[in-house]
Amino acid sequence: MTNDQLATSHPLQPGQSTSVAKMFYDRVAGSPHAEAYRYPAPEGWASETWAETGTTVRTLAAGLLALGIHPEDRVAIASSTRIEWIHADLAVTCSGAATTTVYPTTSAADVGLILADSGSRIAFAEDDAQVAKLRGLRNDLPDLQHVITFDGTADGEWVLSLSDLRALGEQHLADDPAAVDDVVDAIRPDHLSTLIYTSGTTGRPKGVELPHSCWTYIGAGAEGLDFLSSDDLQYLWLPLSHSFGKMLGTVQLQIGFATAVDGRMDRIVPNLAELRPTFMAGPPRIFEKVHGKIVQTVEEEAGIRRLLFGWAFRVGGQVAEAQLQGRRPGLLVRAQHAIADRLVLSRIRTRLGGRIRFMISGSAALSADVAAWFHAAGMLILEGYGLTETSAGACLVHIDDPVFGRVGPPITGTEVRIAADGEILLRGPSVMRGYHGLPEETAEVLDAAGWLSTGDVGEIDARGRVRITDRKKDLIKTSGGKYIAPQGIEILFKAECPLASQMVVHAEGRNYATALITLDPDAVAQWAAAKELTETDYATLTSDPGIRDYVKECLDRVNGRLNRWETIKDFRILERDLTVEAGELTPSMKVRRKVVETTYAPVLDSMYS
Amino acid sequence: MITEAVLAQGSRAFIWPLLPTDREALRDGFEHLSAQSRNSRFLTGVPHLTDAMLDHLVDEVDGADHVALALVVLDDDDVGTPVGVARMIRYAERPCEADLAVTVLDDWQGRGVATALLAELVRERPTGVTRIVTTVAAGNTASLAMLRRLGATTTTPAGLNRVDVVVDLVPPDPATTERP
Repeated sequence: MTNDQLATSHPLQPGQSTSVAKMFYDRVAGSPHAEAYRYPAPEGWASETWAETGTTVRTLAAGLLALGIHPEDRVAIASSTRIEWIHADLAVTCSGAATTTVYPTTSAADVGLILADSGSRIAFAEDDAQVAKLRGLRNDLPDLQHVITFDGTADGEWVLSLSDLRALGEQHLADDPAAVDDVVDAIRPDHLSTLIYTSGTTGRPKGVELPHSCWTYIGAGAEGLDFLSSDDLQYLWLPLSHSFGKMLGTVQLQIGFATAVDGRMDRIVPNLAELRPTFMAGPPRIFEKVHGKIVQTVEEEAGIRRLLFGWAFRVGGQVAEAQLQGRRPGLLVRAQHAIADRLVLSRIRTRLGGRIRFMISGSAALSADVAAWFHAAGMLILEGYGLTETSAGACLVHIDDPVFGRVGPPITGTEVRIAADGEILLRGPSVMRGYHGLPEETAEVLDAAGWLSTGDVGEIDARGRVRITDRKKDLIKTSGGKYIAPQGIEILFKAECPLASQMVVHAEGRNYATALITLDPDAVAQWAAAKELTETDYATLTSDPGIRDYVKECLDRVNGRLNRWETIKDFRILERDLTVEAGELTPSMKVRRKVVETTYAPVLDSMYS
Repeated sequence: MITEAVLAQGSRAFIWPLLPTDREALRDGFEHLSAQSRNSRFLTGVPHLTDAMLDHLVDEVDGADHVALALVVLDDDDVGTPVGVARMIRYAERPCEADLAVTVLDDWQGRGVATALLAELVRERPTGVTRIVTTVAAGNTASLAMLRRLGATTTTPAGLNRVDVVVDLVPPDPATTERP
């Protein structure tokens, strides 16, 4: 740990635990026989109680202690969302160590950076693919003493299996039954709990240091909002490598509801019907997807059903609108709504299991239209706002004061302020301690008074609710909540493709990235001459299949060097270069992205239909 | 026209018009810029200045519609190193308006290079230009502050992390423009 981190000195909030490990221990002691987790098993769903989870976690934590883990050491997890992720994370926590997360899709180069920078001493790896990535990096990671794999092949030395770890833990507990309990008792609120990496506009990922107090505050804050109870059933499919997923797990420990865990994205719709959860959280992408799928199905149906669907949503929308305004709809509308609900709206709710009380959207801006559509169907989406730097929590729309297009007021104990230039500043117990080993970068975003510069621009309405309007950084945010730094991709592509003149990466609010590409006229002419093409017209050549294939090859090489979520999934070559005359460039050659995106909106849309 | 400038910390410098012979120096200087500075300059990722870009940025400087100045710092042995370039380019269809771009090597940022270049550029601006119309990154507070010092400024959001900026230049002061 560096010595120049800012001290966190927030007093504990009412109901706030001293550590995440203590929260877990209290949960196990408080409701040992209640269901904790449900997860996919070879036949149907398996379930475990808090007492059972407690035993597993304590044993695995003892195994980590047996391997020499000390307080605040870093242990990495490279896996998709599954029950073993949760067991591993809780075991890391109860061994006094801190969790560092890696997406299964993170490139080997970034995995190397993250594990080296965090100084991870042990890494959990989901399967042989993740193990292979780590094995390839072994020589560069002297701190990494062991890999523990969930499903992969163990070698009994460097790579251990989960059952190897369990056996080590059982032996350790036989020798010292209180080993884990003593460690948990000694964890202080200011001890490091997670080191989650976040991407910047340029350069390498930065590790966000969050002590236990950040997460236990989020737990207490969620309980204070009084919108969840121990009777709820959460369906959790989000990547747990992301702070949003970690936050949901922490809130669960505080409140004690059960969570069904299954990270397989293609199972979301069938799982909702099978599990019948009462709430679910996700990035806007998932709500767009469900909305898109249902609307598409209806559009393919015969005329009368389509008309009925449209009518039902208009009636549902009127009722939802009245609710938002806090008034009761008229008698006729209420009567129509009863019919619309029975014939159409209730069936949509059934597709999501039929018991959804509300859903939570976070990590990117949710379209107000999509939110209104779900609300018309009788399912409220509460939009929240937070950064990894604020433990994923800062603002959340209140269930009794719903609104769309805003992210709600700050949770109790968190302050929000708008700087002179419009930037949203946050202060409170969920704010990070700093970026790992980066005092200058930390000082750039966190001032001495504890205010965090979010990089987002926004405003606060008369009722204290925050609206996000812009971003101060060159980071594009996809509807899946992932950041993409466009200039890095543009540089790689222009360096790789000698035909390239300009590239405009597009992804804001979309579920994947695409690009508009222009070609350098001289380079195109040279290419045509070298290929002995008779065609010399630039505009005609931009649609030449040979040129397109060549550009695609260049782009494929660039994609091979990017993380999967950053890759350019589709592109169009424009038939003229960007020009000053069209306003796409300023005379000094600055690219005016908005003009380009507006001019070529139909071209961009064609890559998303 | 060559003028002498004194920077913060007392470095001696000269400002002179960018010449066709400065082409390679400009190309080389760009290679030493940080990714952040490159992005601030072109608002897109640029790995290298290409020949087509250099044609525009060097060869098309005509001193009438496109004025470009370089600031060269002298060391103790009077050896000069170019550390910054500023240019003003008139919009073809709007003769009273011009775009503005300033680039300063990272190590020299915050030492008065841009201020010195701009003071001279405004004096030697294309005849008839009364207004700067440009686009900058919304997060580029240094550039926005620099533009605001040139005159009454209005900003309009122009998409993600971009603002269009219009500056009505303070009319030239006869006392400073009339030189011996």
